[in-house]
Amino acid sequence: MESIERTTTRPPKTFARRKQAVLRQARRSRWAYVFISPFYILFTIFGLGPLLFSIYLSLTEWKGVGPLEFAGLENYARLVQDTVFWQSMRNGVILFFLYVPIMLLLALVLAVILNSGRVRGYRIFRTIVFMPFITNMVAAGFAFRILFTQQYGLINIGLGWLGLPAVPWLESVWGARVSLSVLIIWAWLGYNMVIMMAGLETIPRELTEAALVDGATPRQAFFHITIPLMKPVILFTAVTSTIGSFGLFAEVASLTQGGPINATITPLIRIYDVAFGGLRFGYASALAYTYFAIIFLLTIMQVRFARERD
Amino acid sequence: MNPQKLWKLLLLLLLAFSLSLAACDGGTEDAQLETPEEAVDEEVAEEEEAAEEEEVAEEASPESDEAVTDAQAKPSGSLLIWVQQANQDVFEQTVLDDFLAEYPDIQIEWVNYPPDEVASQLQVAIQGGAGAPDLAVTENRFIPRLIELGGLVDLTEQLQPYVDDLNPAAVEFGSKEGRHYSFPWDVGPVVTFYRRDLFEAAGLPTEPAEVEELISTWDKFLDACIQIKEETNANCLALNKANNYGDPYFNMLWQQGLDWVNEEGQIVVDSPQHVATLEKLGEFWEAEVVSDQLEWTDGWYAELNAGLDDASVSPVATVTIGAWMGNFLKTWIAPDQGGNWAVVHMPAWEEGGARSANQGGSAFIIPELSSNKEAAWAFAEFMVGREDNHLEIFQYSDYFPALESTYDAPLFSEPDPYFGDQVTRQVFVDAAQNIPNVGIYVPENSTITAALQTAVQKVGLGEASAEAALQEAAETARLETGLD
Amino acid sequence: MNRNHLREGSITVFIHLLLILLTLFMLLPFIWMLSTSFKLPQDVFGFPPTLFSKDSTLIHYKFLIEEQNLLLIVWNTFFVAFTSTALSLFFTSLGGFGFAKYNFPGKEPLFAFLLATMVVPFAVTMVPSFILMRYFKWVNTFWALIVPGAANAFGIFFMRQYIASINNELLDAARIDGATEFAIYRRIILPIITPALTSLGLIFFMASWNNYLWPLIILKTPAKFTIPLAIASFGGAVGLTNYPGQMAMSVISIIPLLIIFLLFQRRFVEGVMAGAVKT
Repeated sequence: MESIERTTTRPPKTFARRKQAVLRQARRSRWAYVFISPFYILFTIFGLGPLLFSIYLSLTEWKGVGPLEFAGLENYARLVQDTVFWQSMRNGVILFFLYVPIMLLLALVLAVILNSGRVRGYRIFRTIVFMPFITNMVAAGFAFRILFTQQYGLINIGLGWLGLPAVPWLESVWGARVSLSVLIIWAWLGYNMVIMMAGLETIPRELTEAALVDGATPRQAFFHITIPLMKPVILFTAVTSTIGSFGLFAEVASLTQGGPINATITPLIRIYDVAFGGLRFGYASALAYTYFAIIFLLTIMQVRFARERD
Repeated sequence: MNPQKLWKLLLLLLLAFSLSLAACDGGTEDAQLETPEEAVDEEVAEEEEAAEEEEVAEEASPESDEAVTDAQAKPSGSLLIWVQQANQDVFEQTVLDDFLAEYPDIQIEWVNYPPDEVASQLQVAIQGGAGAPDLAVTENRFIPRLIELGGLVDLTEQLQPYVDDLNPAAVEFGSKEGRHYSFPWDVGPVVTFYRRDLFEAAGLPTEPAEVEELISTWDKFLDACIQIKEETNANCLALNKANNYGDPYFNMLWQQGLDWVNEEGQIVVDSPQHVATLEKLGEFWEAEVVSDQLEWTDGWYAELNAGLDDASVSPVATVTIGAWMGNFLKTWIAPDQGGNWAVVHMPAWEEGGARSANQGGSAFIIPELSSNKEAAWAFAEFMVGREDNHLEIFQYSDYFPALESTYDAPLFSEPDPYFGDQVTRQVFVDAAQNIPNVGIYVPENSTITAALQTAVQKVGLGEASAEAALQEAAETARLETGLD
Repeated sequence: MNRNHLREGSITVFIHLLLILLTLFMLLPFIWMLSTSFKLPQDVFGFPPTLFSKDSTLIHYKFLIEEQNLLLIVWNTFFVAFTSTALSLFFTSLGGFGFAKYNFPGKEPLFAFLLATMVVPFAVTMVPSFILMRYFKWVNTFWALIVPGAANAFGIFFMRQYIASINNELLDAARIDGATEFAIYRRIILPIITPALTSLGLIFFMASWNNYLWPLIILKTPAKFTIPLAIASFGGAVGLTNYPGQMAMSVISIIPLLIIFLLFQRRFVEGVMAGAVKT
């Protein structure tokens, strides 16, 4: 070793030191593999394994016991005509339009108001708006169910006091969808508001203040300065909400059970029903993969759409 | 080494890895798991296997249990039973104490689920290979699916002494290829309960003999309903639109011998008769003689229990449903209306047609995963295999016995004060013995039922015609089940 | 000027009105949950509705404790949430440390892969995971709720961001003193990242405490139930639905999280913000 070093043209000391450093780093980086390995081991067993197995499963007919029957693409051909599945996808889109714009606009307005510092006691308000986020949705769903009950539910009694007719909230297609949307807005408004607040902090306050000094109305400042600058944050919340509305489960299971006439069934509920109610694990896997592909495309489209508007 | 063990080993290594990392620094990372639990689980599994072998060895015990003096031959240990709450009450209020006196070494542990969930939870437990009870009571219609999964103990041998006395329709639910997997408890002959006081207020006859004639077909029933609505403003029956479970429709189908599939296993729910039947049901919505209360909700109970001049709730005049409803009305749904309710046969599809159908009815089943199959069988046999006990249970619950040898008992000709001293059980017996062929139950039944419920709801909400809704339901069901 | 003031004034009124209305909307379900849990079953839909009737009662809470094994259910939920949070925090902080402070071949693709795993929705792994759990004989055990998600990709990402901001000189100084790499993690990294651990831990704990679908698939016997399952399986039998009991259970499910939330609100909100904004 030493003799080789001596024959080099570089100053021997530096080289040795550097080599030692490299060796040390290599030794250290071995530890890095150890440190990150739990994720890869667990993911291989509990993520990748099931994912790959599920591809195979989607090509079979299997009731969960007994032999797997290979079925080729039959499951995928079948799901093309599965009206309930497509209804569930449609419901995801409908729900998205029912609650996402209102929720995000409300969250942004609240964030702007709270950030402006003109409201006293805003911490208390933030705490209250955020509370539903920590509530489990089974409890919340059943509580809303009691509130929305057609006869003697508090909401309809309240409407009666205002001289309005009772609404069949859980007994009609659109009533159920609106009820579900109200529950989701209630649950997620605080979360989105907090994220918007974090986003607003990255916008220099002088920008809006300068605009106001120049004679812009607060509304103009909001639409022409705040919203454009908040676009990445809004996009993030929109994407999460989209994925969220397709993947609702506990909310629907406790509030509407997917009814009436499948008006509030979501893809996740459909997959669950097919797998654990109908005993069709192969078909459920095909549904799940199709669902995954569609969600993936939707997300990409949303991001593209946002970019193009720039 | 089998692959399952290998995976587990890998995981244990991973855990060990994390623990040793923590240990090598003397840190106390909180990653300790309760490892004993797994060991216990495995032990249980082994015990189960052992129990299974035992069971094969001592299969010949029925009938003469009184003679059993040898304490060792008596089943013992803990017995986990899944039932709906109402059924547990029935046992507790009747002969449970006798059972515990006879089998002092059995400790019963109850778990209650909503009615449909006993079967669906059991199904997932069977699929998952763990978490099943030792014994379960579930509605007959769910049993074929559980048999198909291979999760139920074959009871053919033990059932031998009873099978000839049991209602054949009930036995059929729990049979596959000549083997029996259930011990039927009750059948659910459908009858029509009606309110004498409302009929009287509407100017209609009130005595059962006359009402039998008055509502002998669905058309005549509808006429009576219209008169009740006009005269008293009360609704004739509860028929929810948006969340309808489909039971009224299904009863009308079953009384005509119509079912989900035909003998060739083809789905037939879009046949002209099915469509005509749903159209008939639709007439009740169109005539606006029904309330929108959903069965088994507080609003429905309130209607059934409401008085004629109740200010807040308008009463409902009839309910067409399984005979077991008699006990529910009497004990907890409508205790205030003693003397007002009476019972007749359900209306027929057409004059002279069957005035009976089967709704509900349940049976005892023992999962393969049961860890105490002897005690499970002992319990089932004690409750419904012995005529005395079965009759006592029937007297309390009105769950109509599947054990037909009980029908001669004097109990069946006793008047019932709650029903204005009507001899209601004669109506039940007659209905039970005239249940039309219940048809072919397939494991896919529940999937088809779900599609049909949606169809009924669509017609109720006016979203589709009966024909269109049923066609869609049939297509959906064919697609999902793979049947033709 | 005067007109401006007027407008300012009306805006302020509008803002406060909005906030008051929203506060009511946010609180109403909680209030009604609490109020229902004290009512007799027949008073749930009483008319006119009352907030707290004269017949207010604690029987439903008593019923939960005496008949529904409340303490066991709360313990189950706590045990699963606590264990999985502890395990997750360990694995994610270790992984975050690995990615933040070391250079090693394959680091970039490995990290990209880790991020990519986050897009896989639960719907896709639900069925095959259940089959795997059955294969392990983990159905109806807590293992299935604790182990599979223990090294969460989001958590590693979150920790990496936080640990990257720690000064390298600190670590090098420790190395010169002869500390092992794990000791560096244990002695230097862990104390510094306590705030991040708290934020992430709160989110993990909450997610596990409230989780419904996966426990619904895995847990079969009521003795193993977690709180959301217990709420869902409530009553439902033929008979009067026990809404007050169900709401009492719901109240109990919320209180522990609410206390934790109020105590650690800042960390909690920080965790949510950091998770969202940095993605």
